[in-house]
Amino acid sequence: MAAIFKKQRLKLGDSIFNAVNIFLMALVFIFCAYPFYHCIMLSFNDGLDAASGNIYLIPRMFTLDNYQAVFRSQYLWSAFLVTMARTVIGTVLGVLLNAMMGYALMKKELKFRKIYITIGIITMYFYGGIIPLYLLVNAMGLIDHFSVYILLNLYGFFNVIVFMSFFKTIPVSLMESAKIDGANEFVIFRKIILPVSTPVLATIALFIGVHHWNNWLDPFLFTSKPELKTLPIILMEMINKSLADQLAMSSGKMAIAEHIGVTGNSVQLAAMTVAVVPIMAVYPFLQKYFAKGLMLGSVKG
Amino acid sequence: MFSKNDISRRRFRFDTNQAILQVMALLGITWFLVFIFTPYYGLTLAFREYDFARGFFGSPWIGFQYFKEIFTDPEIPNAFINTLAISVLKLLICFPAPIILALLLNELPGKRFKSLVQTVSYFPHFISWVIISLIAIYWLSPDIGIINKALMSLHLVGAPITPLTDAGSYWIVAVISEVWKETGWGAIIYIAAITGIDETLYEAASVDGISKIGKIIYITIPGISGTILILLLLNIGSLLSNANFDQSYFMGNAMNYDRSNILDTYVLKVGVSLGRFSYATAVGLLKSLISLVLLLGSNIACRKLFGRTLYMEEED
Repeated sequence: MAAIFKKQRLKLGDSIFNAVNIFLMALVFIFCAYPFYHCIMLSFNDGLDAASGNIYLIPRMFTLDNYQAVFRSQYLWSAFLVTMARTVIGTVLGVLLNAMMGYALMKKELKFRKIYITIGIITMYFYGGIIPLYLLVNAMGLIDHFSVYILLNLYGFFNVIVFMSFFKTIPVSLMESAKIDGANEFVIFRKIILPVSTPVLATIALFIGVHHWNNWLDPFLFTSKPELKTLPIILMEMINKSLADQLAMSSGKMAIAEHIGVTGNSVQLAAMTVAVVPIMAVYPFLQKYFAKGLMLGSVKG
Repeated sequence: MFSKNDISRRRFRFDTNQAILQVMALLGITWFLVFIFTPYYGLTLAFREYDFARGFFGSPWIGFQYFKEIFTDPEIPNAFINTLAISVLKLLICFPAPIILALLLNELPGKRFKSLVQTVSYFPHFISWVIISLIAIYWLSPDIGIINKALMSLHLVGAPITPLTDAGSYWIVAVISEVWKETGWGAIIYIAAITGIDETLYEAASVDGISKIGKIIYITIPGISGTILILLLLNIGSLLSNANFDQSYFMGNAMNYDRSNILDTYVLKVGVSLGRFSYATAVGLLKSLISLVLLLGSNIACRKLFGRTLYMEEED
């Protein structure tokens, strides 16, 4: 009797726990998804109308004017293309180079391996700072060059470590049999290692790609040409403006508020959407690899 | 294992492959030496008076003058306190949050819902602070911001809150926005660790009539305690970077400067806006040295506890 009673109480306890848990996780879902949804949805609404508030799920006055205003600006088009170019070039090069380094460093027979790994780890521990980096970039004549975006971000030792840890889990027999067939290390890397490493390649590609897409410090520090501006820089400039608007409005000094395009705010939202949607577009395809690609590496390394 | 043919060709083949591997590694090593190690030498700028006309090598040595200035600069104590306070607050709140999320996610019935929540929860990690601060400005706007609408309609506040421009609120804003952005991402590693726990332990517990909460306390948490400890040490090792340069730069503004100005943003302001290269380098160097001490400390702790360094499992 008592045992049954206890079991029932247990079941009840677990059910309450489940219900609370589902509720909490639903909240997490809403908290993480809704802010993006809300801002993107508002970017399709008339700016002046949106300023009166109370729009939560669907646009009240649907319009594409905000996007027209955004893309009418030549800056934004060029910023979009520059950002896209650095992201694609930077990601392809970055993934290949970091993977190659990870493969080489994984090999025990690599001479000076310990020294190389030590050098790599030091770079994770200690950072020279922006002024010394600026002096270096300046000395190399890279100021106001597109290549600065690519060159400065080619490697990251964290990525190399993730590659190393993943490659370690690939059965040695795969590589050995290829070796017996006379394949050299580069052929093995290209023909055997890369094809079975989709999870880690996708994961690191997303890391590097997002880094390039979001990076603002490189253009901020190393370029001044308007044609080298990137999306984050445009957004930065817009945010500074918006905050001025906000402050002006909340303190009642409407005269200071300065509007660009449709309304300052709605153009901002449209520009933000332009910056977020590409990440949203590739994210579902790449995120499913995180589990395999990152966990193996990070739990161990 | 080896045929005669193999052994006779072995030496030559070994060299080719060694050369290929060396090229693969050295491409990267060269990059690290040029782009990370050369700036280390550039740090000597902290001991020189930067001369814009004559450049780095023409700048005269002046010793510790700029380090002395650090201790008399009235902005430094403030920037240091902000850096430390935000970092510690985040250690206390942003560090445990992913553990809790992982434990709850793991107990979620229904695989679909679980992976949906998980996928969405780490999406904000990939969005830059520029955009996050833009969203924050909208959501906290006094007139149309959703948060203010909600708080007002629930009668939790009488007047709209303006945490982005209240000097006193920045630390709270920093912690909450960081929790929102990074908790889902941080949970991944714990979820991975949980999947590594032996299933039979849970089955045995079910037979013994242990509740879900009991299983979390007696099986799951002990099962991931090693991971928690390592990540805690990693977090302490990089404590000062918790203050988050990007976040402070974009969430910070003239109104909350006294609370949002951290050492990194101060370096940017002094170095880039004011053009005081040498002094900015000195401030950055001092911060890096403090970080290095923290990191070496937690590395020693890690070696004592686990017999490995923080970043590398094997020491061969």
